[in-house]
Amino acid sequence: MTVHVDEALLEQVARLSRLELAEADKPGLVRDLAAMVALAERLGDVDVEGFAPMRHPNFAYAELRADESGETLDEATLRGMAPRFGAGGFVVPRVVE
Amino acid sequence: MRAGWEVVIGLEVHAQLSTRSKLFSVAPTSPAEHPNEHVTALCLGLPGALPRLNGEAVRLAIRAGLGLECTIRPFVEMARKSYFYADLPKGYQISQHDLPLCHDGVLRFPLDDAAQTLEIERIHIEEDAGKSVHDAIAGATVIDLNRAGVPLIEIVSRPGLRSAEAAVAAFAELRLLLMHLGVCDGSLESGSMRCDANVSVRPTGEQGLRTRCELKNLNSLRALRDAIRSEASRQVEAYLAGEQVEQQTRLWDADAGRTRAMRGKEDAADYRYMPDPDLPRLQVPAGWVDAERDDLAPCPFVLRTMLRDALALDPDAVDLLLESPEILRAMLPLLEKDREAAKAFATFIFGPVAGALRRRERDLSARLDALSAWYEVFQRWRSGALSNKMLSEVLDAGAASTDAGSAPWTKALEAAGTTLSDPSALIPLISGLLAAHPAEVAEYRSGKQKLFGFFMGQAMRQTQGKADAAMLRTLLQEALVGEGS
Amino acid sequence: MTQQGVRQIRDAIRDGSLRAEAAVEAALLRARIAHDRHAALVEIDEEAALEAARAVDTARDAGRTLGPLAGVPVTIKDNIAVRGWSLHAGSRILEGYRSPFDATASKRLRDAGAILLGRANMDEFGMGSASTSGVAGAVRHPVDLACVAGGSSGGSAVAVALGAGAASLGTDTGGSVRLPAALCGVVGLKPTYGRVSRYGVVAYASSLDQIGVLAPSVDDAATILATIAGPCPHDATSAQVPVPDWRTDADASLEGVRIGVPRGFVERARAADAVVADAFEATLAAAVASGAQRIEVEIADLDAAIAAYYVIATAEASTNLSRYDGVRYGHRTAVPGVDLAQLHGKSRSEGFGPEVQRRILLGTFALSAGYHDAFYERAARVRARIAATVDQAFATCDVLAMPTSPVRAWRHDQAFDDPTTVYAMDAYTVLANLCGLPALSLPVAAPAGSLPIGLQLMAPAFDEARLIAVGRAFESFGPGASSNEAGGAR
Repeated sequence: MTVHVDEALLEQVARLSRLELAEADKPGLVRDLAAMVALAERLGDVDVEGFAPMRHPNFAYAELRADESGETLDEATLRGMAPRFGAGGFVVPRVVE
Repeated sequence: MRAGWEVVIGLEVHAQLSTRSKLFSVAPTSPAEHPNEHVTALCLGLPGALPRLNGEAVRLAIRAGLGLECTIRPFVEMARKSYFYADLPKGYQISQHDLPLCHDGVLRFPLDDAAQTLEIERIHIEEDAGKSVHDAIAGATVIDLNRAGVPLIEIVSRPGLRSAEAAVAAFAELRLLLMHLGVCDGSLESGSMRCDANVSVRPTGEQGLRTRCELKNLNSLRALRDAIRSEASRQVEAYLAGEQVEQQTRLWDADAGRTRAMRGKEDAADYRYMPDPDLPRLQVPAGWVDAERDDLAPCPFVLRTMLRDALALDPDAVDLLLESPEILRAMLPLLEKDREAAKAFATFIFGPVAGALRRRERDLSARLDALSAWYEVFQRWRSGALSNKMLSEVLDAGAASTDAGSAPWTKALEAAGTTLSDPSALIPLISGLLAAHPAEVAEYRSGKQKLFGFFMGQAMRQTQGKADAAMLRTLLQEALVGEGS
Repeated sequence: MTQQGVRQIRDAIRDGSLRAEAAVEAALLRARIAHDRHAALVEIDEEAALEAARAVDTARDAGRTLGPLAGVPVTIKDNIAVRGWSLHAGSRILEGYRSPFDATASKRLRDAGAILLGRANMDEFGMGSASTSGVAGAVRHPVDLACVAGGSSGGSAVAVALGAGAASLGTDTGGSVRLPAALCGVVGLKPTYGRVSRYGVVAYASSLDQIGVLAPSVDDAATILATIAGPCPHDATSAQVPVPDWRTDADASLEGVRIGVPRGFVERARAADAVVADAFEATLAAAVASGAQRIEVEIADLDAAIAAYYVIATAEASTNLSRYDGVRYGHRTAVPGVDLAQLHGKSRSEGFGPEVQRRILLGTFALSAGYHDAFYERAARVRARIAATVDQAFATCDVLAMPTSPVRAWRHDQAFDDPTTVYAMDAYTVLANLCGLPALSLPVAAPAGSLPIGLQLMAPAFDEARLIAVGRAFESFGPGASSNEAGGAR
């Protein structure tokens, strides 16, 4: 797959990533992203016939957790880390649904 | 629905699994007193926090799958679903994607006394998001993460429903089913169950499906029904006006009585699903599915038929029993043991017993360990060995006690003794009563039958309510009639 | 102070020839140099370190049993949580953030009596090969301040080279422990994926990240690893595999050890830096002279490995870094009057540096509709193929050997065409992460006046014992054999 990286693609990916790119940075980022994508396109050259996707190093150990409740964080800790805290919660600009 | 058109509906139901702790963190799921009280590092999405999957959530999801006759996958693969939202702490929701735990099942539900089915496409496990509170601080939204990470299942049906009434009936039955399986408490008020509906319309007879809209915020059966009706009309009107229906997420506005497009959902979503690398695929422990299958209680669909047909309970009693799976489960053996008395016993439990407990601010389902004692009380009362007045005293004494189990009720029953039913004791009492009220006796005998109640009341008062009402009635009748003949 | 190694310090404190306070004071003195001259440490917790050291001395004086690392000073990379410490992972997006909990590895170190000196500088979120992108500034090489230390655990490598602590915890996602170890002339040990809990590690790429140890010697690294390794209930990827006692292993000889050298790997290094290739060959020749057998093996095409690595790492990173949104902690934009989406976007754009933003963009791209299958899914399949070839190689050899890095430390002012030029530095190291295998970088003999050169050994999963044994044998013909200090920065 050969991808043409242009500003439209960059902007779409930036929007999904919630990054606000400065206009002045865009041409450079298009170049960088194009180089990165070109590197990634090397994947197309590898014959992967018969290989299932490997999500994880091949030794999965996940075990189920017992349904027990434990320690939670106190409000002082939350207040201490929050950029803005009020009414017991994290305050953000008003969200309209 | 306008003639010549039909509505096509599929449901997406979120149900909170009845676990003690959250899906991936040890934060409790119980109701919190304050915002952000039940949060851990993971609930906040702090750097370095990692998820561990709650086994009980998996077990309950399997149960739901079996209750809906699904195929259960032998493994759990969790996936990240990425989007940004204020109350989504990690910037992704841990859910399942193309490999849901349960798939291809069926919901059986009653509609107008006929059995209907709705195909279930999938059931997957996922975590809930937090809550955005809009009225706590002017001009701002406050994020409360108590709900963030609470375990849910999402049940997705195929678009198999053809009316708002069918959708309501299907959802109501699904709710009862999950309650009976012990998977979810079924509370719509507290948001334990939430229903979205995918709605499209098409001219009757058309084969393919047209563009659908997803309706959200349907937090009652009425909202579900009204929203579907309103949305279906909107879409039909649009087609009739030569417009197209856009695929959208729409919110039901109950006050306005119409749906409206949700803000911020204009962009086609690209959730960039990927298997969660923090949670390697996990085998469902051997034997779990079989164990759950063996443990499945009869579903409400079957129970309803039994209660109504075999036990002849009236619809109200059936509904009450189905609403309270625990009570029904406890009562069922007793109901079946004495089918003749089933209806009366059900009425007895939901009437006087529940009433007595309510007056003491206690809950019926919390005292089910006294059920055998209640049955004893019921039988004594029914045989006439306990008068109504004695019954209410016994029930109040039992309800007042803080002790669990049968003991308080059996003790109260013993203390109450039995009704006065010995004719040799009652006859002199009746004779005395007639002698003391000659005028009333004369009136009665001249045809004023209503006065019988007066004599009953007087006799009861003299026995402090302990007379066996049936015996008293017989003897009194004999006395009133006999002396005149 | 002459003792530098983990075991020497521990043993000296135990037998009373060294006070823990003195050991920590000496380490703190070097830590200040590491901080001031090399930007290797971003914060030093002097008071707490001295207090903990005095507690060790008091315990010893009272005849109480000391922990296995009692009094040993260590530093911790700034992406591994220590309760109450700042945790910035080299990023402005985490400004002001303090961790309310300990990483499992930090906790195990402290419980063993180790003294946590401070936080080591790094590339932002571990995304770099030079340790130049952290918000606290570029780390400077222990020998030549004009050169880079390698990354992303560059601060840890420099701290160890300078003696600011007997060891340091780093993290290794694509070589971030081994590369700076090689460039700075110290030992870097990345254990098997799952060997050390990732709980408390600021995630870069969850299926690749692993805590590793930087230390003056293989033995020191093994001693620290033995303390932090083992199953952890907080991490679903933590291996339920018992930890053997690596320290009591008899010194291994190389007699009969089959060393696999992947075809084409050395040539690739020769093209980049002939001195690296020569040093590698000389070391291998010495190993063969000691009885080892050199076998040529065929493993993956390195360019495909780098491509798979960067796609998987950035895809995972793009989601792992979504939590930094300015809402609950860390940097929030000061621009007034923004809506929620702008708050997210501005906070993130202000908080993340350029390389992190580039990687988020690539990762988002690789996962997005239309590209997901050709990039993310394909990378996962290429990964499977690479892992299969490595498995096959281990059927014919005991360990794999290759240069750690194709080049030696480069100058801070060296310009690169585009980010992918730097990604090529990771060519040899990403293999171990893609396959989850244990790997070790140790310094080899380099020409006089040369900056350090590293050699990498790789072993099958959970066979750290083999890696450590062979690594020890290799140390005997490393730079320590001629001049006895790694790095030699004095």
